[in-house]
Amino acid sequence: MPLEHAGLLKELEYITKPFENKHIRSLFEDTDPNMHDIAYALIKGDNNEVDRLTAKALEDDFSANTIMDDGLIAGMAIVGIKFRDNIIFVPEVLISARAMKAGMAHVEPIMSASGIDPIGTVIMGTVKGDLHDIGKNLCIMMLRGAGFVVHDLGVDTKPEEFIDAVVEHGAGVLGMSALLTTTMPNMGRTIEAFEDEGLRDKVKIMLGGAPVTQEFAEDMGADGYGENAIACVDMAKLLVGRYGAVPAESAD
Amino acid sequence: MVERPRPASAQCRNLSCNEVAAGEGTVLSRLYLCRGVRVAIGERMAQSVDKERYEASLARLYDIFRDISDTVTVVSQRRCPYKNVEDRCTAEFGCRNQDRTVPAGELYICTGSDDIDYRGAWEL
Repeated sequence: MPLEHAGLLKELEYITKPFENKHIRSLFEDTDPNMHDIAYALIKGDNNEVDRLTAKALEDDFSANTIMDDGLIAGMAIVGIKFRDNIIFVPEVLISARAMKAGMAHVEPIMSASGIDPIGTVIMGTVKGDLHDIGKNLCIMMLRGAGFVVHDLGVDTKPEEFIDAVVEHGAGVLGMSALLTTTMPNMGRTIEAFEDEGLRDKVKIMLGGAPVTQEFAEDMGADGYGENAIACVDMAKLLVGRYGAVPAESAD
Repeated sequence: MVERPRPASAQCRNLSCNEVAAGEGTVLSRLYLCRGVRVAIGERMAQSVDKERYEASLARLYDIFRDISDTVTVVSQRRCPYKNVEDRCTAEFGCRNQDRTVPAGELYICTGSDDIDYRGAWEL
């Protein structure tokens, strides 16, 4: 069936490589118009619309697999191409990632109900005194894409906020980010706070951020360090695979 | 947008459940609102998932995000990652490249050149 979604047809104009354009167009031509709506809302970063359309699609008996493939991932594929070709930039990518999360919030419980559990639960935040969050947000996007449940504490996060979140969500991994050399020591102070609360052995801690190094992470007593978003995911997988997730009740 | 009729399987059979009958709330919130719907949706949840397809989907999504991450590394060498497509600043912190003469509620205009290192302008 020819693609008739005006918004997607416009988006396809941004895809200038003929083989990519042909491939993506053919994928949409094979899928339902309801999925086109989800993909387009995701591309535009409209998380409320993705939330609404995903819920409606499930009510209309579209499978979680179909919504994920033909709606959410199809839209994100176009986002990736537009970013690669400098048509959009990091903030727009992150807005689309937020929309993806809104859709996945409906899909993930269905996966869980079918016995497909998340890889693990990760708490992420930028340390106290630091307002830089782009790197952290990219890590969160990557972690969610890899199948982790991530709770984002945002920026300027106090040690006690990290502790509360780890306990509340029973997270097996905590990721802290800092961009400033002046706030980097707060990573160590947060780790000390976990030790003081007797929780250090309940959670694995990984660090990241432009000025952070493997050596610094080791000095602070962290369990891992990620140089970039991909390394962050690899480290989180390693920490979860090696140690397993901490059940919520054992973190009490 | 193409409107499709709501299938009977998704409709509430419990007439006392006004929330679902009125179409309010999300699918998930309804799990806690209506026992009848909880059973109906729960059955559909278990039936509709292809695990191998899901894993393949995650792998594809990860590939997309990995490419995005690689692009970030390149683009961020010359363009501030907080600068959006409209050349507005999305940072929560101050920067000397921010032109703050904008109406209240609007993002500051980024005046930074993409030819020089932007990090020196960040107000730490």
